[in-house]
Order: sequence, then structure tokens, then C-alpha cells
Amino acid sequence: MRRPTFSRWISKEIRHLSGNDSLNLRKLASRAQSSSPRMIEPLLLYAIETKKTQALLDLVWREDIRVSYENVLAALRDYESIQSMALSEEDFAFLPREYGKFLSSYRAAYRKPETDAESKRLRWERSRDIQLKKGISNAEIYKALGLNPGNVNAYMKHGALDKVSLQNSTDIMKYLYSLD
Amino acid sequence: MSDFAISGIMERLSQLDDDLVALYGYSKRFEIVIVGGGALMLTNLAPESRFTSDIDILTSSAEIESFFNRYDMNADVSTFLFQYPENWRKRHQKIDFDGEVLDVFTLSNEDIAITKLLAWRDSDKEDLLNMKKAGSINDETLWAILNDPTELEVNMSEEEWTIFIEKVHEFLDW
Repeated sequence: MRRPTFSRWISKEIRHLSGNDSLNLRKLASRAQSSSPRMIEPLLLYAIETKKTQALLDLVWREDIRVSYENVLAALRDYESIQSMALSEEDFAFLPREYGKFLSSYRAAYRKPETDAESKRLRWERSRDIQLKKGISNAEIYKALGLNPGNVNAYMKHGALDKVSLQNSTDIMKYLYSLD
Repeated sequence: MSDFAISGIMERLSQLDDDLVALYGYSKRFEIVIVGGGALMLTNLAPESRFTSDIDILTSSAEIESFFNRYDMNADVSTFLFQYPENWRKRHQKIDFDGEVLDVFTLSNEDIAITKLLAWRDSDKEDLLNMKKAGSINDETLWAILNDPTELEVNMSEEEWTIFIEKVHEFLDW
């Protein structure tokens, strides 16, 4: 699984948040200051990442947002990149809460491979436990679920987590549970 | 797929549900109570454009706490539990999530509205307006909660209560 760069991630999310797959800064800034206040924070992060900060500030007519933007920009001034900051900081208490929430979300997205690997490990351990207790062969598993024999053997016997998808590891676990 | 769309929330809840099955089997059930944007999205109280960057957990089974970071969940809002209506648990609603071992709840619509009235940020006003337009708040139920001094008033100073009631009237007049 390819890890998202902050640039790719925030652009994807801004497109979604725009409601019409748009990255038009003028339209986004207008929406954020009127009907979609929740866009205020991710929009600044997007502008910083795409080096459009000044362009965004030029589009801000609300003084309260301008002040908040300037405060956040000052807080982020010493960081080389948002990505490295998001991945290295323990918490984001130095930023307003909503910015911290977005950065935490990016960090969770970046760490999804580890999250999925841990989930697969839990499923594997439970699957092995049930398999041994019930005496179920790997062949029975891959035949019942229509999975690749080599991959199931490697996964079940050696815990090769990369040989099965998260969905398949879940299906294997639930299949074993279902056997009486 | 956006991490902030309802599909993103459901995917995380499903993975958590299956993690719990892996760890504990089917011998017990677990619960979480979601508030905030996630709650609005899961109960269809928000328009499609609504999003949430994380899942706000009001309360949860203790076993789930170690998973919070992994699934971008946080329990920060639980520190404000003392401000919530006292009897929210009597009115909470089960979310339509078909968990193997995980039951997901949120507050009643009126209690959600009250939390938004308490916070009163621009984003909360946006949510309240959408809830009002959708007719999802029962004014009678709302006032029944507010008129019971043991629900909210008991946790506020007189000044805080007065300001809060002014917000309620402002909201109902929109």
C-alpha cells in the first residue's frame, strides 16, 4: 500500500470537501467564509502545502479568519514541511484544535499500513488458535474460501501477513469461527 | 474514497469490530457512543456534504480505548461530559451498524442539538440549521430536557444558564 504524501492527501480531501471535486481556491475560500466554516482549517493547510498561502490570504474578507490564519502560519513558521511535522509531533496542542484533528487524520492515513498489519496479526493469531484447536487443515481453508493455496499456507503456517489481504485474513478468521 | 466521508467512518468501525472479534471472540459485546460530526453523519442528520476529520467518542468499553489512535478516534470530548444533559443515556439511540460484537450509539437528536448549542461555534450553528431544516429536532422534547433543572441547569452558573437559554431562543427563532 502506497503511503499518501500530505500533498496528495490534502488535495484529495479538499476535492471531496468542496462538494464538486474542485480545487478552485477562489470558490473554496468563498465557501469556507460563508456556508462551509468547516473548510476553513483544511483550506489553509492546502494553501500552505501548495504554496498558495498569499493567494488565499488575498481572498479572505473575514477579519476573524485572517487573524486565525496568521496565528497558525506563525505557529508553523519553523517547520520545514507539514508532512514531517504531522508525522513527528506527539500532539498538536500548539495549534487550534481543528488543525490538530486534520493533522491527526493525515497521520492515521499515513500509518494505515501498520494499522492493517496489526489487524492482520490479530486475525492470524486467532485463526491459528482456532485451527489448532479444531484440527482444520490449510487446504480446507483455501478450498472453502477460494483462496490461493500458496498464500494461505504461508500465512497460516508462517504468519506471512503480506500474503493475504486484510479482507481475506478476516474471512479466514470468521470461517474458522463458523466451524463447529 | 475520502477519509472524512461516511464510508470512511464505517470502514474504521468495521475494522475495529473485526479486531475485537480477533481479540475477544464472540463472548462479549462492546459499545461506543459517538458524538460530533460522526454522529450526525451516521444518523443521517447532516447533508451529504458534511464531513468529520475524526470520530469523537463520548464513552466506550474500556477495551476499545487502546484502539483510538489507530482509527483516528479520540475521547477528548469526554472531558466535557459533565456539561451534557444528565440523562442522555436514557435517550441515546443505536446507530444502524451491523457489528459482530460492536454496538454503536449516539445521543438523541435533541441531546445532539444541546451539545451544539453549548459549543455554539460557526460549524455547530451550521449543523443546527441543517437539523432544523430537516425537522429532526422535536421542540417539545428539547424543552422537556431543558426545563428539567437536573439535566443541564444544575451544572451551570446562573449567568451561564441565562446565556445558554438565549442561544436556544435564538436557534428556535431561525
